[in-house]
Amino acid sequence: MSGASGSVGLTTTVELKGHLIDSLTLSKVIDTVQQLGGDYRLNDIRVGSLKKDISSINMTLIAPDHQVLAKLLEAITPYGAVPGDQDQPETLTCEQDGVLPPSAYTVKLPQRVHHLESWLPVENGGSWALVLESGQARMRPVSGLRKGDVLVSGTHGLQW
Amino acid sequence: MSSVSAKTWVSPVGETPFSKKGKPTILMCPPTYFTVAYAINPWMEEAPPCDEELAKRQWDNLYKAITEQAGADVELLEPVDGLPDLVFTANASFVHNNTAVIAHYKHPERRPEEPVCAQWFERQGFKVVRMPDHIFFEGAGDALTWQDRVFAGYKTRTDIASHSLLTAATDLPVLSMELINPRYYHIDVCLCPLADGHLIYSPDAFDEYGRAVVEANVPADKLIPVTPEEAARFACNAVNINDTVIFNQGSSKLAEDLKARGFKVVQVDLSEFLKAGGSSKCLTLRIG
Repeated sequence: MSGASGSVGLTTTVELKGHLIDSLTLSKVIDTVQQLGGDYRLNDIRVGSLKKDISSINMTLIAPDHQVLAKLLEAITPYGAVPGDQDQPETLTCEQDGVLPPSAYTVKLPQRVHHLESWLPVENGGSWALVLESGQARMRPVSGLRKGDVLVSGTHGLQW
Repeated sequence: MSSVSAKTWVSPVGETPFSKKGKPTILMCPPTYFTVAYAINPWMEEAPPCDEELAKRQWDNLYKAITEQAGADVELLEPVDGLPDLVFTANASFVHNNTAVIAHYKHPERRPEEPVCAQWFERQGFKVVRMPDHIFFEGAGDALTWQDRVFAGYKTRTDIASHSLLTAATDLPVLSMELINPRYYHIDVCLCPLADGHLIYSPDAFDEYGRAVVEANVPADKLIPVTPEEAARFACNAVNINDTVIFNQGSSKLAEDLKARGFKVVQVDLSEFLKAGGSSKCLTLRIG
């Protein structure tokens, strides 16, 4: 089940739990997503059979670009939306400026290239880490890491 | 227009360790150390200095209204120096039957109150439930039992994630209500369940979804809307014991609406507590 059919773009999965129907929380989330220019697909809905039972919903958010996707997540997080179980990344904290903690997710880019009979240093080469900051994620060279930076660890929760 | 029947009033907290007393029981904390020492809500930011001696007299008047006019018993929580907001016992926990779900405060200034309250409830024989460290929940200030369900506020102080945990601890369905006005930062400042299925609320404090939830759950003849002017005087922050409703002075329209439905009304001047963003309901917690 989704909003507009045939939607394409960036996606991420979120989950919601609670008395989502009676509280109109699900309606609020769907309306918010669509008002901000996104779309959604309901993947799995479990509605409790007894009055006290909570419901849970797994839904995919669809956005035309990173900016809209970030806005959707920011807007619906207060309504209880959390990354889908399979999308939770592990994180760790940088303990020293410019020092990459073990097990941090890194991408290693070439540092030198043999060109015109000499080895040239590659600007912006070297190891890069994935930093989570203020609701945004960016790759940052290890030399630019600062104590306290929250880094993604491993590859769980990443999409290519 | 329906009228309240004290005979049909069921305790909103179920059967607790205090139920054997056979009369309503309220937890209060004397304002020995009450003052406005910091600003964690818009009322505190705007307030002129608090008159601590006047606050003590106002608290005494509320105590008398609860015990002498409403006929309830009061249990006292020992005040603690350095914890001025401990007087607001509504936040201490959410009580249902023998379970007390203890608050986990968003603002660090109030977090030292948590072990004080947890220990008190444990000593009284309640099963104490604590929230995980990353989930904020501000007790009965943000969760109000109405009939067989709970109207619970979220966003300003309490996280919506606490609501599923509240259901797990109490088996009560929770209706999550977004609080859209930072001045009405707890649901008990803008909504109040009353005897016989009545409910006071401030429509302006909720968005269209919140208003729709209230209207879907509460019959129209039991719903008592409060004007914005009277809501700003904390009219919704009322204490209801049987057919008596106690709230801050200066809300004549609400008083008339309640009397027309058969409630007895007691208005108490709580000006010094309003400076801290609280009124009669905030100063009390139904525990039996």
